[in-house]
Amino acid sequence: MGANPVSTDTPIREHRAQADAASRPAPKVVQARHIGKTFPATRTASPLTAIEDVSFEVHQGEFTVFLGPSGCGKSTTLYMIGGFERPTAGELMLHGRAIDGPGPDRGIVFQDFILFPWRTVLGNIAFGMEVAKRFGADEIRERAQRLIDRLNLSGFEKSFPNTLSGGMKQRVAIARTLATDPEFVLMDEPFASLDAQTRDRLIGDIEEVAVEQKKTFLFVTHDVREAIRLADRIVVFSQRPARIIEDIVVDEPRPRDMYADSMRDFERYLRSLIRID
Amino acid sequence: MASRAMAPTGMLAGLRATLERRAGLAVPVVIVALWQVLISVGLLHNAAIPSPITVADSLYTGLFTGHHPLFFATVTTLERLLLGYVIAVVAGAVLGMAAGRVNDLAYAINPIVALWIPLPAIVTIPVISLWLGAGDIVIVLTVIFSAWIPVYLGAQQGACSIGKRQLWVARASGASGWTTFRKVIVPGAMIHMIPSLRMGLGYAWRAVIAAEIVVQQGKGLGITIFSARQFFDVPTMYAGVVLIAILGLLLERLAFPLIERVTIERWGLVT
Amino acid sequence: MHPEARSVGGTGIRLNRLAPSRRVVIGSLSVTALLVLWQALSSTGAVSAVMLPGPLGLVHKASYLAGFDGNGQFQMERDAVLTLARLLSGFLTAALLAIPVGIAAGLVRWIGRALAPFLAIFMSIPALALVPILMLLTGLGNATDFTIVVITAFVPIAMYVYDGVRLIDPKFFWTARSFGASRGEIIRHVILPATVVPIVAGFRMGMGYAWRSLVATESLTALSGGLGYTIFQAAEFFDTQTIYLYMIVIAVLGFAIESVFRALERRTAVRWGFLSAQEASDG
Repeated sequence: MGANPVSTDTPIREHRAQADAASRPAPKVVQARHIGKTFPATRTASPLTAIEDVSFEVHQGEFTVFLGPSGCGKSTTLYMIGGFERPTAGELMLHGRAIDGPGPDRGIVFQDFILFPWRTVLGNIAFGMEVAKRFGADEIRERAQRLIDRLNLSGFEKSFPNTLSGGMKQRVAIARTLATDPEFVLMDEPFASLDAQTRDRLIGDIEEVAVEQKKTFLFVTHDVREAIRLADRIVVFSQRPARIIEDIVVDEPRPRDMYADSMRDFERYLRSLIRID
Repeated sequence: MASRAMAPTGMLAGLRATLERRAGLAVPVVIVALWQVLISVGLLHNAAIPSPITVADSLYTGLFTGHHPLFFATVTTLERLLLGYVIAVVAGAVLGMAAGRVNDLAYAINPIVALWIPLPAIVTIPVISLWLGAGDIVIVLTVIFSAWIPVYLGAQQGACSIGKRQLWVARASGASGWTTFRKVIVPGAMIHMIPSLRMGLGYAWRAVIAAEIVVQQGKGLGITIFSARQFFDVPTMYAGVVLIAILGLLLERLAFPLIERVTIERWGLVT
Repeated sequence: MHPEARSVGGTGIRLNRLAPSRRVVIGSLSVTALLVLWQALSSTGAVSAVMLPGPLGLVHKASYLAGFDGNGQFQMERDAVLTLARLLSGFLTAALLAIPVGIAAGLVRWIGRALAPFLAIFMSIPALALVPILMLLTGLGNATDFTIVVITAFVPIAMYVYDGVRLIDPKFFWTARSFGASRGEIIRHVILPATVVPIVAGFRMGMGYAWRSLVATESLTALSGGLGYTIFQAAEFFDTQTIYLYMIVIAVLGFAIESVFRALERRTAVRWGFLSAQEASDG
């Protein structure tokens, strides 16, 4: 079997997209049209095409999940939206304009936390606000403390990241990103290096946060259950070089019962899509 | 196909990549070339700075012609290095492994080692010369004093990190204390000891050259450099340093992987 | 492994709390035994006083050299200060050079590639081998001592800083930029803090090399005083008491310097999780 295990069933996709347009009047904030990314040759490697002809749209306030097998290029796509990489083909627009590098409107959370080891928990969370320069010292402390309490980090304000568990580190990273109130929250497989229980708990936390705030979430994962639980919309990537296999709106009301038959069927369906041969 | 064409590979990009790759070699070569040019042209004119060609010539003559003084000096230095290093390793390893398994021994020896470490080995030369006169023994002892410490520490670490269960297995198969030591503890400790052995070789190398320069008697590379200074044979001084640098690099890059291959891979333990 | 565990012999893990007294007792016993042996050998005349002066004799000599008995000599202090002054001035110079060079090498790839062979070459040449050439170029005396310290300290500092900066995960830069950090802010908040741990490690290593090389170099660059100079001078005159005494002083000073850097390491690398407490004390 080739890179696309399931044939793109155009009628269904269009149907879904149409229904989508009808029921969701939210503006499109990110538009990708036939974007591609090829990394040039280096000393040790030949050129690498990560994604090839990817098109999708992200709507304001939606929780969009990029789902696909490991290493397929979905993270690269996220990085391009974040402005850390540039597409080598196609058009990628943010609010109708090309993306010109990273910015405070798009916060990012990585799989390996990337907390500053020389700053305490408080220091890490305050970092973005310090750099932003639009917050006074008191406001910074107040906002940081609020996030610390909200994400169950109370008591660890003065701790250094190396003393924290993986789950706590990720919570600090999330708090840091939320502290500057960005329009978009980008998350690159944030729970992949955590154990199952911690992952479960954090998924719940993110769910709550997403419901509370009006931000647009862009979440990358290879875990189908994570995707189903969190997503308002799932964009399914194929293996590398990636294309979009499916673009599915998930209409299920929250909180979602993962054991309901419909959900189970959905899970099975998605798994079949990203199955690697 | 389409994606390959889109990758930025211009002639310029390729040239830049090659330059970056070769920067490592290029810079020393360029500097030596520049050095030679400055001297040939007459811009650099210092009795203490010979031209690279003169140095190369000295190196060649010293190694391959006449009495081969540089060659024999190298051999002498390497002999001392080898002798001192091997003794240091054996002593350090045995003591270290024993200390790693017998707590009291560690408690007794470690404070002494802690007091020993901050003493530069060179500083012990006057005392050693006092007790044992001049000669090779002074230099070899300096090497031993320098090199045994990292080996001892590494062996101790290595020996004490051997799990209980490996020892149980040994005992269950009826191995005596000595056999267990030989077949379980030594190989187990050896893996952890590789970095310490490497460090010890570095210390030993520095010690042998330094000792030769300080002692200033007899043969050896360090002494050659020093006496060349007396005769104002500047090119030989530089030739000696070049030789020392080459040997140092060879020891680091070749000798070690070789030792590793002989020991570790023979015991089937891969690092 | 339990954070308080120290693997010292036996079955591999012992809790600190259980064993300190035994460790301290046996340790002190062993050191004391050595001292006693020493004293015995010298006072019974089994070994001549010239070869092995007794500890008490050393104490007398120490008070003489250090001017404690009011003879206005202060030679020991003068030598120590001289050596330390050379060490400090050379070391600071090396640091001021090596840190920016290391940072530049880490950030700009071709600078790093150009620097690497130099570091490799100088790492494989024992500093003392350069002394005769340096003596020709910079003469006897302080200039050569200073240069040796600069060279021996520069290499490890530059090496560690280069590695440290080169290996900063690009995602740290991404994170900073995603908050809108300017280039200056990235330097201040990402690059410089990331160099603290490598700098301390390089300092520690560089100081060790510099100290050892300086003391040896002083013995050769025969012009002025200093610990290395005096100890070898004393050898010429068979003033064994001074020899032994200075050996102890050099060891003690070396230990004190090491402790300073070990403490620095504890407040940085250990605190931030780059080293375990055990690794820091072993070095």
